[in-house]
Amino acid sequence: MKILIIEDEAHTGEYLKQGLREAGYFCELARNGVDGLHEATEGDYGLVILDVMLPSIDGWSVLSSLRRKKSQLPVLYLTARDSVEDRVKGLELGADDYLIKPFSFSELLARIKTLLRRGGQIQDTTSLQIADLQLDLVRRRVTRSGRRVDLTAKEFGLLELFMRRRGEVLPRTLIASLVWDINFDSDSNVIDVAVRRLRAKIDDGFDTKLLQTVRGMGYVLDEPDH
Amino acid sequence: MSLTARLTILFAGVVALVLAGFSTLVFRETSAHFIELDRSLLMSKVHLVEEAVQASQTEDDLRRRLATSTHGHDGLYLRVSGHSGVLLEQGDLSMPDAVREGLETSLQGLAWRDTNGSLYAQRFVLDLGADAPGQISVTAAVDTSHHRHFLDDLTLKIAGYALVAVLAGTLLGWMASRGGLKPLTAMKARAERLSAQHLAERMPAESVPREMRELALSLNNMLDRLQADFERLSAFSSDLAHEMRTPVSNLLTAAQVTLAQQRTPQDYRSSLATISEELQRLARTISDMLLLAKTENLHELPLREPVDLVAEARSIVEFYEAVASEKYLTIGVDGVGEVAGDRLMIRRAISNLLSNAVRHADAGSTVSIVVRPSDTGVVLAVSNLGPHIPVASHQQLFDRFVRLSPGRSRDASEGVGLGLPITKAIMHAHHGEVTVRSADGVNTFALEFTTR
Repeated sequence: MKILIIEDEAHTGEYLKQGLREAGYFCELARNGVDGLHEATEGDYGLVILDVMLPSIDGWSVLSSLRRKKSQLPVLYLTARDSVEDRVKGLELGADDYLIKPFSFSELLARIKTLLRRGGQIQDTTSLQIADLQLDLVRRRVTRSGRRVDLTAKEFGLLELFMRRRGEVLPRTLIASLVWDINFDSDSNVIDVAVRRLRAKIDDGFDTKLLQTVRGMGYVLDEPDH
Repeated sequence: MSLTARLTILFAGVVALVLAGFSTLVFRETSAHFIELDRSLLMSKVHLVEEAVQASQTEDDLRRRLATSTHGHDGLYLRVSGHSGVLLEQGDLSMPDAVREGLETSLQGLAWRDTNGSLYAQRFVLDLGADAPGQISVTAAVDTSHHRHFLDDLTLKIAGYALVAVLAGTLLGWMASRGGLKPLTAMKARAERLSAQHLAERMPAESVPREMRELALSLNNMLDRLQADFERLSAFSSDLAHEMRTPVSNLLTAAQVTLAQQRTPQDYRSSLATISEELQRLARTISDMLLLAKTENLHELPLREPVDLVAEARSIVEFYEAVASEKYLTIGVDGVGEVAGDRLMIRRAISNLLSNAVRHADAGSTVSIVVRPSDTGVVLAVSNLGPHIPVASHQQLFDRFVRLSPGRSRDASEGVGLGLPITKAIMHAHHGEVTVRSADGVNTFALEFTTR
C-alpha cells in the first residue's frame, strides 16, 4: 500500500517517511502543495497524509482540489492549530481524519490502519483467536488454553480491541478513546493499570506473554515470535 | 466634519434664523402701522370734504367751502370731482400717471414709490344719499417719504445688527462647543496613554459631565476586561515557558548523556523510550495549557446540548474502575440531574474531579458521586475520605501548576496540575462554579451548575 506524505517541514517529512516505511508502507514525500496535488492525482496511492500549513497553495486547497478529482482517496490531515473551526473545516472539505501536532507516531500509525481497513473487508466474525487465547464475541467469553478467563465488561472491550488490531502498537490515548470514550488527555496511568490487570488475567501463569508493553509508545497484543 | 464645526454652524444658523424672523415681523408691523396712519390722515381730509358737501347748496358754494376748509397741508394732494368736473385740485404733490390710472379703476389704497419719493393714495366715493344730484369722488394722496426713509434706515440697522449677532453667535457657539467637548479631549488624551504596559489607565469618569459618564464607565469596564484577559495571557505565556523548561532540560540531558559514549542497542532503546515518555508529557502539558487558555477566554459556549450528569458520571467511573480496584476503592453514583452544556467539557470536568478523588482517597474507602438539584440548579458532588485540606489553600487549588506541598515532586500519574484550573474554567464557561469542602475527613469537590 502506497502512502503520500505532503509536508513542507523537512524533519517531520523525513521522520514520517522513515517511520511509515519501517511499518511496511511504501512512501513518497511531496514538499509543497503543487507537487503534492500532482502526485496524489497521478500516482496510485492508498492514502494521503496532508499538512495543512503549506507554502504556495495551502492544505485546504489541496484537499478540495483532490476531492474533486479523486473522491475515494482517504486523506488524513495534520494541523498545529487546535481550533474547532480548523477541525470542522477539514472534515467538511472531505478529509477522513485528522491529528493535531504534536501527535505520537503510534497514534498516527493506528489511525492510518483504521483508514486503510475502512471500506476493505469488514470482518463479521463471531470469535477472535491469537495463539491459545480465544475470544467468543457472541457469548462474550474468553478462554486461554481452554481455561475460562473472567473479565469485566470493559476488560472484555479492551481485549477485543487488542485482538482486532493484533500486532499494532496502540497508544494510550487511542485506547482511552475507543474503549472508554475518553476523548481528551487523561491520566495515562489509568490505562496502564487497566492493561496491567488485563495482562494479569490473560498472561499470568503462561510462558508465552501475549500482551506486550512498547515503552514510550503503547501496548501491543501478539504472539512474541511474530 | 468635526463635531465643533457642526455645532458652530448649527449655532450660527439658529441665530440667523431667529433674527431673520424677528426682523421680518418688526418690518411688516411697522409698515402696516404707517399705512394705517396715512389712511387715517386721508380719511380726515375726506371727512372735511364730506362736511363741506353736506353744508353746500350749490357747486360754487361748495368750491368756496372746500377752498377754505382743506388748504394748508404740506405733502398732501387732494382732488374733488363731481358730475360737472373737477371741483378742487390742490396740493404740492405731483401725482404720477401710473397712480392716477390705478386709482381710476380701483378704490383700494395704493402705495407708490420711485426714486423721487413715495406716496400713499386712495380714491373715495362719497355716499350722499339717494336724492343727491350726482356722485362726488375724492382722490387723496399723502407724501410718505419720511416713513420710507425711516423704514429704509430701520432695515439697514436691523441687517447690521443681525450680521454682528450672527458673527457673535458663531464665535460663542464655537467656544461653547469646544468647552463642551473638552471632556472628550481629556478622554482622548487618556486613551493615547494606554498601551500594553500601561493598561491601568482609566477614563476620568468622575470629572466628566453626566452625559459622558456612561461612556466613560463603559470604556472603563471594557478596559477592566481587557486588562484581566491580558494579564491572564501574560501569566499563561510565562507559566508555559516556565513549565516547559524542566522537561526540555530533562530531554536535552537524556539525549546528550546517551550520545556521550558507545552503548548497547538496549540502552539506546531505553533512552529513546524515556525521551518519548517525557515528550508525551510535554505534549500533554502544551495541549492542557492551550485548552485552559481557550476555555478561560470562552465567555459563551458555542453549543449546548442536554447532558445527563448521572449517565456521564457512570461512564467516567468505568474508566477509573481499574485504578480504583487497585486501591480497593468503591465508587458509587447516585441521584438524578441534567444540564445544558458541552458534553465533552463536562465529561472532562467530572473526570478531573474523580481522578483527584481516586488518587487521594484512603485505601479501601468509598468514593461517592451524588447528583442533586440545588437552589440555583444542579450539583454534582464527588466526595472521598482523605487528608484534610486547610481552608487557606482552597483557592490555591484552582491556580495553575500549584501543588499543595511545594517540595514534593509530581509523580507521573499526577499530570501537570492543571486538572482543577481546567475544571474551574469549564464551569465558568457554563456559568457555574467548582467548590471545595473539607470536613470530618471527607473532601468534597462539587460542580455547581446554574440553570435558573
